[in-house]
Amino acid sequence: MATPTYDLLSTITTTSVVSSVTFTSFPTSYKDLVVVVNAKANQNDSFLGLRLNNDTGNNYNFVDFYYPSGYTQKSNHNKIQMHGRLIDTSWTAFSINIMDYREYYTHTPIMARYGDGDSGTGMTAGRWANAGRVTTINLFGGQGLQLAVGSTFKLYGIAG
Amino acid sequence: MSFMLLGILNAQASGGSPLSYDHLETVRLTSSSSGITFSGLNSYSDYKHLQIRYVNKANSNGGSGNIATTMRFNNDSSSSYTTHFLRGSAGGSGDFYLNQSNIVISQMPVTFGSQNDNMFAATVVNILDFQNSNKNTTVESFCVSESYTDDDVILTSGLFEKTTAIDSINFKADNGSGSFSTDSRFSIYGIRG
Repeated sequence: MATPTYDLLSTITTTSVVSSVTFTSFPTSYKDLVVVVNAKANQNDSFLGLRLNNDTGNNYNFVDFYYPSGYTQKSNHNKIQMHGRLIDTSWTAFSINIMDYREYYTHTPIMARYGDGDSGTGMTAGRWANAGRVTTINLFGGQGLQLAVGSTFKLYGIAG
Repeated sequence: MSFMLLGILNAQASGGSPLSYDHLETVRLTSSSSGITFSGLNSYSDYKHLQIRYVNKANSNGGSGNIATTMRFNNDSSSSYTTHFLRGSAGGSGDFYLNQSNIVISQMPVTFGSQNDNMFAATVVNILDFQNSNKNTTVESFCVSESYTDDDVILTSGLFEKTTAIDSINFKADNGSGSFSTDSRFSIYGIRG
């Protein structure tokens, strides 16, 4: 039976300059999660980082391909890095899929695409090397970058 | 208030239709299988496009690298498919498969020994205008496959050079030479338009 889905679960809009945002307490009744980000940096120029369940260990693997400046690959790293440039002059959009987030049999696959209004576009493949259920999603600016006022972060659930 | 209801209300408040994206079916393997098929898609006449989201892995085939997930429509095994493959690993590379018997839609890890036990690839495939009998069918997909041996991020475009409406979609592990492992999961969604 067809079931309507792609449900908006939570929205965060920054009302002050912050270094990170966190989604918690989302339901486990969906198959996949999607985070849609439209963000700008307060200053500096860096990547958007992602961690799950506040895990700061070296449990993340990713490859990031960004045009025009190439690719970054890291194994056993302490975060996923999405290198869509977060800059202070234009907004950058990210669509981040967190697949099978509630399952215990799989490391969590993370897939992201992004583009900024200034110069580039890219995509990221990530894996959280932990088969635990995802209960917290933390997004933050890299290298001391802070997120500007008005940055939006929307969390959607997809049944399956 | 349930989160589902909250989501619908939020979607309505933001001007979106809560009924434009529907989950139709899910197949999760309880044993290994050489392929999975969604059939009877003509019955989904309410929808304009299809999206398939899957998380999959292959059983050991004696190798250790990623292998392909391949896709066919309507059980058509003729040389009517073309694939373009943009791989973001190692700085970017591309592949092009013309007039093949399937679309090479994504990659997935292979289990070898105890390696890659929990490592599954993830892919989202969009199949546009699947019921239109005046167009060749085009697809696009986004895949990530992170394993011990391969780090792949891939964009794929595919073409089915027939104008018949799509009634069935079949996925195979390496065109049938491999098998999907237990817990591989395929979910199909309808998008109104």
